[in-house]
Amino acid sequence: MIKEEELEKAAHLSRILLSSKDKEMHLDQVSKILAHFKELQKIDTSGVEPMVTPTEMENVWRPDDVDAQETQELMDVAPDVAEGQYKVPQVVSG
Amino acid sequence: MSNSNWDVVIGLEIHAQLQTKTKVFAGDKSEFSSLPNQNLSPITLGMPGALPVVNKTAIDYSIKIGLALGCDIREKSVYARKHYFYPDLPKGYQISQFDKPLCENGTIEFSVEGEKKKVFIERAHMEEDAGKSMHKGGYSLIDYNRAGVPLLEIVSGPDMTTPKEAAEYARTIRTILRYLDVCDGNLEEGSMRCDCNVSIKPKGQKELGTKVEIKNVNSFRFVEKSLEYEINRQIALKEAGEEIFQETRLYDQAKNKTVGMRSKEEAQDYRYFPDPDLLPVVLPDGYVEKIKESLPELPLARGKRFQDEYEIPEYDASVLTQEKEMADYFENTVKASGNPKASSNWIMGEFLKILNEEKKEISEVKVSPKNLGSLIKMIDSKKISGKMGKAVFAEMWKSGEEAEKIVSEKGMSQITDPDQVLAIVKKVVDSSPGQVEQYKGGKNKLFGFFVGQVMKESKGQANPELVNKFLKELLDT
Repeated sequence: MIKEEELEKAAHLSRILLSSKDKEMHLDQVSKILAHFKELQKIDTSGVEPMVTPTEMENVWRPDDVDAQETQELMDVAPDVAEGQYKVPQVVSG
Repeated sequence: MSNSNWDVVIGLEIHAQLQTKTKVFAGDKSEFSSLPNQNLSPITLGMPGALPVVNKTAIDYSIKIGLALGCDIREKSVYARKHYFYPDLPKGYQISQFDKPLCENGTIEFSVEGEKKKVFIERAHMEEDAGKSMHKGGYSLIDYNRAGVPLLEIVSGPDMTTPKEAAEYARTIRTILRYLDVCDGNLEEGSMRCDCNVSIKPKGQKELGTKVEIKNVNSFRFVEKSLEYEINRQIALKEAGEEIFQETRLYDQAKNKTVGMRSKEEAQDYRYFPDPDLLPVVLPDGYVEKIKESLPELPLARGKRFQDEYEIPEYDASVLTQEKEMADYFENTVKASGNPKASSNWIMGEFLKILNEEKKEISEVKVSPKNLGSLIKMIDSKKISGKMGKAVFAEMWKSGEEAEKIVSEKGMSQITDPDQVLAIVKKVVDSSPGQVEQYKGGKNKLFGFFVGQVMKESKGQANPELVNKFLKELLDT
């Protein structure tokens, strides 16, 4: 079970706004997910190395070479720009 | 307010920007650009579906630094996501390392006012830099050039007890980074950044006090000053019976004080987890050893060698090894002069004096080590006097010419022919009968007058030993 305050905190950390209807739905769904994990946690995993990735691959590295830049395209997709920069709502007050 | 009732505990987190050509997880340039948003890619902006791939050179540089700091290099390290919301971080998380950093458990050694000090390096982990935001009234502008530039965050143990030690620790790290040629260590431009953690506790108490983090410290002097201010602030609070809050404070260099940055009503919760977009780094057998072989001689070792090999004092050795270029310059000068002590004196004296006055880099100096070496040789073989040497050096500094050429062109070489010197001495003595009489009458101080006159007559070129010898012969008999 997840408490309402815990759900609100998780939502706030991810900057997700929840209506009271959303909250109801997520409380139910997240609680079910947590119950499922509680079940999984019963399995004894002592001695098992934690898995970082399910793939068998490791060490995909790239050389320190410059790729072609797509600056303009990447500026064009922004909702708002000014002075060659991305314009966002005020971050710091005062 | 007194320090004597309190123990001070300081630890530093130093972010070193690695000098790779491209970013740590993307192929856009990582160079500084005066125009904003020139170095962008879908990966840097965190576009859906864009996948980061790690830059091999960033790994190699990080291992280099780890080794130079005496760290263990983890065979398998893992990238993790550190979540927080800020517009200069487009993905909503920073790629960093958490429980499996690349480097851990190192130590570095340095001296503070003659005392040896050892500091433990808890870890050094790879991460990406964030972008830069500019706050205008009512909105903010974001430049992502710096987003994704590789950083190595070097975390010290809480091992320092004075602001001076902390500043010296930071200087030592900078020197090492520059020796390795992986980071230019420029605090002002932010290619090296220093966050200072500081707490106080009643003298002798084991349990640590509440720590405060100071950010925005952009010189070694400010590391010291901001810590001094913060320690006094904490002591004053405690002695007034108030509590210290765990918080991040910004250093205001103009006012020399620290100011609370964000309220901690909500504790940081970064929700770290392994980044599923990136594979673990597993270092093949022999990989670290190969990098180890490529490490240059580090400042501490080089300083010790200078003391042994060239028999120069510890202080000289530490000044000369502060910068790799300086140490190279010294060694090349010794090679040319064959006189280590004189080489050290010249570099630490005239050379550094003018260098600092003119705010120059060693690479800009016109006097080559070979030419400085020849100048020292000319003095050692008494072709010119030490005093003339300084004048010749000043000429060399301006023109970059060889010492021999300047000396012969300006007719500066010393007159060592006894007959010539004697002739000048005689002329001076003969033309000052009054002074000769006074001297013979017991006014010994006048000897200096005669020396001065001879030097004037010879344009400073007469060999001083001969001048003294002949003057004594003529006047004292």
